[in-house]
Amino acid sequence: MTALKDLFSSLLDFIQRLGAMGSFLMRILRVLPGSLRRFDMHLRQLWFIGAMSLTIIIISGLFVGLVLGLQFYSALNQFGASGALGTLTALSLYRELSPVVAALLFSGRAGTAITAEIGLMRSTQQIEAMEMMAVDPIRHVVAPRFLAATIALPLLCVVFSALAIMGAHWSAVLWLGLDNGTYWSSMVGSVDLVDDLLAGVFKALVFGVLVALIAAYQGYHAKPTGEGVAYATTRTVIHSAIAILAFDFVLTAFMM
Amino acid sequence: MTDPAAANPGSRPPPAVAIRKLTTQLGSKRIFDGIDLEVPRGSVTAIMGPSGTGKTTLLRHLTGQLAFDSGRVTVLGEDIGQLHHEPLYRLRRRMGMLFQHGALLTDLTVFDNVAFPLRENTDLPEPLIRTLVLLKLQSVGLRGAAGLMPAELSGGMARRVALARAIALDPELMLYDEPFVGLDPIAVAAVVELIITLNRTLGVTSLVVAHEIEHLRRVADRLVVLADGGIIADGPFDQVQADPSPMVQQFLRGLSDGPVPFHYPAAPLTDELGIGGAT
Repeated sequence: MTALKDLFSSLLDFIQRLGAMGSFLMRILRVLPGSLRRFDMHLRQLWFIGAMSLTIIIISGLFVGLVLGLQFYSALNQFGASGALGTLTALSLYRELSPVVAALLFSGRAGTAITAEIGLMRSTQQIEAMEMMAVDPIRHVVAPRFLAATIALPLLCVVFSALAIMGAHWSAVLWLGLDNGTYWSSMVGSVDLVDDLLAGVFKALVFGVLVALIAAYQGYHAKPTGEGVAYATTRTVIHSAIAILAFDFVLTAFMM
Repeated sequence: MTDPAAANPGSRPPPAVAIRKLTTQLGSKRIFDGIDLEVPRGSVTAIMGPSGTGKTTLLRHLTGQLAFDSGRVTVLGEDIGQLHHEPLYRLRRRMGMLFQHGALLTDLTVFDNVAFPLRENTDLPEPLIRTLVLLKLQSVGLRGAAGLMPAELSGGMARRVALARAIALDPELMLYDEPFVGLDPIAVAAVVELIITLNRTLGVTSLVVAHEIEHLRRVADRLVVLADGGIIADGPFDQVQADPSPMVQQFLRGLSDGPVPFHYPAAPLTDELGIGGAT
């Protein structure tokens, strides 16, 4: 009975938090057009959140591609189907791997940074000080980071795909001897711009909104102590990972 | 202290702050139990009280950052309980607050910190903003530090920059939250001077929350002591210091034990250690 009660109250808690997050998102969207007036703030955040995530995305993309080339080659070669390696690599990357892996990496690199930054501003009373100076912190602090993350992730997802395709080319063609022309032509022949590439980019856009919302919400509502900020940062990674994977399932089901 | 009433004789100006029957409950703790307080325009009022009696909470009520349960709080003629968003922000542009640790925006220089409220709240051209910022910094003696980042400032300097920022929009009401904490005597003297100057030259109404009675005596003309959910003493410093109430005396004279007990409520020590001579 107590277990049931606990389950019920934690479910209620979860729904309540979803509602709070929804209204937080509405607050951000409401002030977003006004905050565009300060374009320099947005540009700066795009640099910090997007450009500074490039290194991890490039390196990870390259390694994921290298591994895909090796794995697919050995698996497909058993059936004499190594000619399909280009197709398989491109489709798995565009549709699934790039948006999901890039989003997970992004939540670890940029999401935590957003949470820690906003949380520290909260704990050092900077958020309060802004409110006292009649400046809406949502407009000034949260909105630019939210927009930057939403724009950055789809772009990073494309970069990730490009690097991974180069990585797979490296391992499958340059090391294992797959024919160069086969690799590229099978890719070009079977990838659809809208159904595959743009569908993946759309996923990345949704993940970008999710990560940005979770990270900003956690930072903004962090307990104003060192411990509180540390907890909030951890929660950002966990909640983002779960949200990304759950939404990936839902989006994939809809797009099929 | 300046007396605005002298400027327009006959009519007594409405108080800068008027609090009526304010009640606040935070969690299970009752912070205020129907307090009344009035702060005349142009005065400097010191607020003291043991930790946890709601001094900072009171300031947060005045700025509209924290809602109260019942009562009425009027600040500069506006009923705080009725204000939301835009009207509240409009009122806040008329008040300034000095935070305990300055709360400077760490990603902006000293200059940009002081310019921040001007840039965000006015349409003044940049050259004019520059002039205003340099004048404000000059008044706190830190014009030379305009290019520094907050991380490069000492505690006292950060507090002075924060003060320059708080007065950037020429507020009618200044709230100081523990302005002397953690400052060396020279920095304290500087902050004391600034509070006095602001009041005397610009007639800024000020509320100072602090523990340092000797500094407060220099800046304020009235002392309000909060404790137990209410105001236990209110008046000129000498009158409050002569107050016979044991609570006031314990607090002002800094006695560790008294009506506010030294020991947190607990079972008798002998019982807890199991060495009591209980029968």
